[in-house]
Amino acid sequence: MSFCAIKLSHGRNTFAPAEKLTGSVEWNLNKLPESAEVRLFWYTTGKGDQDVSIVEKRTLIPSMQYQGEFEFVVPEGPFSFSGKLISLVWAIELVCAGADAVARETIVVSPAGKEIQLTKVQ
Amino acid sequence: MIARENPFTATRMHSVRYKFSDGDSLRRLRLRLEASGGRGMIVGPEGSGKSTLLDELCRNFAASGKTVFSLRAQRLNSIGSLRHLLSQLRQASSVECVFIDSSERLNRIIWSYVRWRLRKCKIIAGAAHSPGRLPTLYFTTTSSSLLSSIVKELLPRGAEAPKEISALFEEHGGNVRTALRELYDYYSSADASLELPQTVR
Repeated sequence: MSFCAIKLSHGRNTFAPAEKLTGSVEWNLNKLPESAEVRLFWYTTGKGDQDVSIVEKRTLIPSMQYQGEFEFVVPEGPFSFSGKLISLVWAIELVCAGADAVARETIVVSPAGKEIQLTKVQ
Repeated sequence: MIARENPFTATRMHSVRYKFSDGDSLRRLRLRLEASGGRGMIVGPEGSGKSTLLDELCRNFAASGKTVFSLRAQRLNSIGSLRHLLSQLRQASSVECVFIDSSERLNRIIWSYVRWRLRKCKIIAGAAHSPGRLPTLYFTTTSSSLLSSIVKELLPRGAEAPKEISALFEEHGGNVRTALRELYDYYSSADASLELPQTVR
């Protein structure tokens, strides 16, 4: 059975801008992937259309089995936020293309140590 | 409820696959398209799944190794919009299969030009509100039970489906997309509760 996973160091999932983000990836697949990447990206979700931006990526050796570490420097922004109409969510994704293997870990990027909540302007 | 927790976000809505209600299938639709000289239109009212089905057809061709180009027609009300269309047609003319959503936004003269410009493409499929521009491949329709099944699919497991889904369907004149957007609004104003009231209005 195929499996792939991302693990963030020390179980952390909240990061300040410019902070170092480290973790490890591991997979065991039934077929050889065409490519393998770890991506740091953000996307929006809500009532309107989605916006996505891959900020950085690390190309890994495509093999059927792999275990290794990765490191990113969290960019200055945008910060993770949520309102009623839109949320901006950061994530780390492991994509083994051609082998239907994807793993994702959601993270929070914020100087305040938590997602910024948008509130109604009175 | 904040946006990322709302079960009716646009992203989640787009993840719902088209549901054939009449025993038809994507495979049969593709065969019909190929049998009609590679030209065909998906026809139906607003919010009935035309774009969803056209997108699935496009992905089906792409998955079988064909080169595809997908474009959403815009009304030509400025030089900029005309330039944008011409640029898209330039790219589209070099691929095997072109998929044109909202084709009713292009008037008949522009549509004739589009067909001429893409004449060498093996496949031209589109979506429109009314038949006539290309052979009709499929009519998309909606029903209260279709809306109900989509709502069930989008709600988290164990969450109760709205009880007045048929009223919601009627209020939106059968437009499933706007009905689902109303459910988004319902949840965005609710206090993180996934239980809908008896009436969703």
